[in-house]
Amino acid sequence: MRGDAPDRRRRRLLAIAVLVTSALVVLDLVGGPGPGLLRRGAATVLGPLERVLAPSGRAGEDELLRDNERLADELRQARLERAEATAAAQLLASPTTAGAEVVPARVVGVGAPGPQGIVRITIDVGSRDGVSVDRTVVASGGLVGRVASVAPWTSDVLVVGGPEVVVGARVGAAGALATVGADARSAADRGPGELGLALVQVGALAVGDEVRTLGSVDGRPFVPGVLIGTVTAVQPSRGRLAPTGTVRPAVDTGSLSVVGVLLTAPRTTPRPAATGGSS
Amino acid sequence: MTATGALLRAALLLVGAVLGVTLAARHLAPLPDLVLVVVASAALRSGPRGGLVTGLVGGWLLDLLPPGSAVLGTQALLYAVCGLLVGLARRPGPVSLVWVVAVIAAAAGGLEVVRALLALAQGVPVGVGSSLGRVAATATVGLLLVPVVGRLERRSERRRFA
Repeated sequence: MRGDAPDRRRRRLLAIAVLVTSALVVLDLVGGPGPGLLRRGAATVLGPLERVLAPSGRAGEDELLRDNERLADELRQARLERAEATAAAQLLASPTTAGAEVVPARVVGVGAPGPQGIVRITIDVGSRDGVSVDRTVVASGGLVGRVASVAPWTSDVLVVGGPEVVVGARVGAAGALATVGADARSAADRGPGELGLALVQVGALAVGDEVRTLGSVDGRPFVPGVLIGTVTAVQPSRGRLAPTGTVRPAVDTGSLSVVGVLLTAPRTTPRPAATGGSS
Repeated sequence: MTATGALLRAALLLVGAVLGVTLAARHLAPLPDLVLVVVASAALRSGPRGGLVTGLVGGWLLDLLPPGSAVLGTQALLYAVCGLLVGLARRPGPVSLVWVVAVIAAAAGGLEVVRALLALAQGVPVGVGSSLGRVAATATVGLLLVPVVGRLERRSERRRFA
């Protein structure tokens, strides 16, 4: 073993690096200010790199068949553009975005894919496009998630079904209040990609009921009335106050490409009072 | 390890991390863990400490590259431990490719298990099939890439003396 000075110094540096990493983990867990700045700085630098490498169907160049390649490339790009235009038109025409201000965006990055599926994605719009933290993100089918952090060119989205997203919801025609999201108690009962649902009070819950967002103050993080999914299973409320269930999300995160960020402004005009029984 | 070698390793890590994130956005599945392949090949070449450093750097890249991870530093620590353990599996002299692939598959499997446990603890259901696919893809890419990475590193070390 060479116990010389540079070796010891190197070992000390390594120990410091590991300690700093562990300290940052703890700091991020307790919600200190440092990690947010670090994340934002890294996103500012590395976000444009991901935007450049966004799916746009560029082909490799062959010396001999350059013309052919170029034409095939143009065709592919035109097809992709048409597909994206169709997806964007679908998004703008869907009831999810009716009446709302929408910033269309493309998914450019998906975080370390693990056994839990997709829980964080990066989209190619940021604070320069008017996006801010805690905005609702939707696709043409329904709810995708909420914006977690914003950089000038990109923003990160927490996807419904991840551990950090819990949505207040209304279930079925009667509109029973419920929460939808990850729930440690019932993770074993659900298939991957499915959401847990727990009614807040005793109420009716049936398979096939639509689940829609309840909405938050000023529409942040969630605007009301966006489709989350449909109930696929109902567990009996043995030992619990209210029944719980399983929700199949309306949006398939595995094939997500075009999404929209809703920029609904908070209400500014006062609501007039009305007299009851005057009609 | 020379400065060129370190630079090359860092570049490989960056390429692996960026490719992983952007290819995932194209919804290719199963996607190999390219950062793990680079970390494992570095650890098998230069032992536990080199593996630890490479894993720490690679994990930090994954943490910081948008969308990053929920808690900053978790991937860094995970990959650092991976690099350390793979470094302990280093054998002196010429190494058979079977051993390399087995080590990478074991590392990928361990990573999947830890991630699945973390997800289950947070109440997120996990898919076993996709995990197995990812482990197989990572091992296959390791089989293809480790000799190439090794040759690149040897060349970058040799050029210093040329």
